[in-house]
Amino acid sequence: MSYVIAAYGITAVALIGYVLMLQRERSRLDDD
Amino acid sequence: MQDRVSASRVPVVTRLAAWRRGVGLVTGALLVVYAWLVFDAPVDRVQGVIQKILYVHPPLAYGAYLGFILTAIGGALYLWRNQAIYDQLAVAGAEVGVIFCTLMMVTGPIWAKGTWGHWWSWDPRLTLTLLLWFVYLSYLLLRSFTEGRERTARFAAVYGVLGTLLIPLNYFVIDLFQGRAMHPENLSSGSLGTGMGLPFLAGNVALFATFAYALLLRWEVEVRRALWAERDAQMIAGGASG
Repeated sequence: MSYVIAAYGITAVALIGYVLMLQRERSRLDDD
Repeated sequence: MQDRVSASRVPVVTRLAAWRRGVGLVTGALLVVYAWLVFDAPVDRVQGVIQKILYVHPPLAYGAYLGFILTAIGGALYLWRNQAIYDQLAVAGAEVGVIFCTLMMVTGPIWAKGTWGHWWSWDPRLTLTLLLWFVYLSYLLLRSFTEGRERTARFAAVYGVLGTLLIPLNYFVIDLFQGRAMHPENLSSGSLGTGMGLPFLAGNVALFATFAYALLLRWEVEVRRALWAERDAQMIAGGASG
C-alpha cells in the first residue's frame, strides 16, 4: 500500500506544485 | 522575427486564459471522479494493491508523448509560418512533457520495486525512456541558456521534430524484443481485468485534462514573457533614441 501512496502522492504533489508555480509566474507577469 | 514585436498576441493571451479556465473546471471534476474510481478499483489477484499504479503510470507516459509530439508540431509550424506563437507552444509542450516523463520515471521504479524487487533495470523500454527524458531535458536547457534568439528557436524546432523519432521506438521496443524485455507488454484490448477498464479510462482522461491545463498555462506564461520582453526592448530603444 505504501508504494501506491508514494506513487500517487509524489505525482499529485509534483503536478500541484508545478501548476501553482506557473500560476504565480502568470500573476507576476500580469501585475508587472 | 517581425511577429516577436507584434501587439497582436494580446488577444492570444486572452484566448489561452479563457480556454485554461474552462479546462481547469473540467479537470477539477475529473480528478475527483478519478480518485474515487482508483480507490474503488478491484485489487489484482496476482500483484495485489500495487497494481493500482497502473492507473497513473501509463497515463503519465501518454502525457509525455503528447507533450513531445506538440513540441514537434509547434517546431514544424514555426519553421513553416515563422510565428513566435508556435515556438512558444513547442517550449510549453517540451516542459510539460518533461514533467510528465519525470513522473512516469518516478512511478515506474516504485512499481518495479514492489513487483520485481529492484528499482531499475537496463531493460530496452526503461533505457529508451531515460534517453527520451535526456533528449527533452537537453531541449529545455538549450532554450533556457539562449532565450529569445530566433536562430536558437529554429535549431530547437529541428531538434524537437527529430526527437519525436524516439517516441514510436520507445513504444514498440517491447514488441521488437519479443518477450525478452522485462517491462510488461503494451496494453491491448481485453488485457485488463474485470472492473479495471473504467479506472484506467478515468486515469487517462483526468491526466489528459491535467496535461491540457498545464500546457495552456505554460503556453500563456511563455506568450506573456515574450510580450514583456518586447515592451522592455521598446522602452530601451525609446530611451536610446530619446
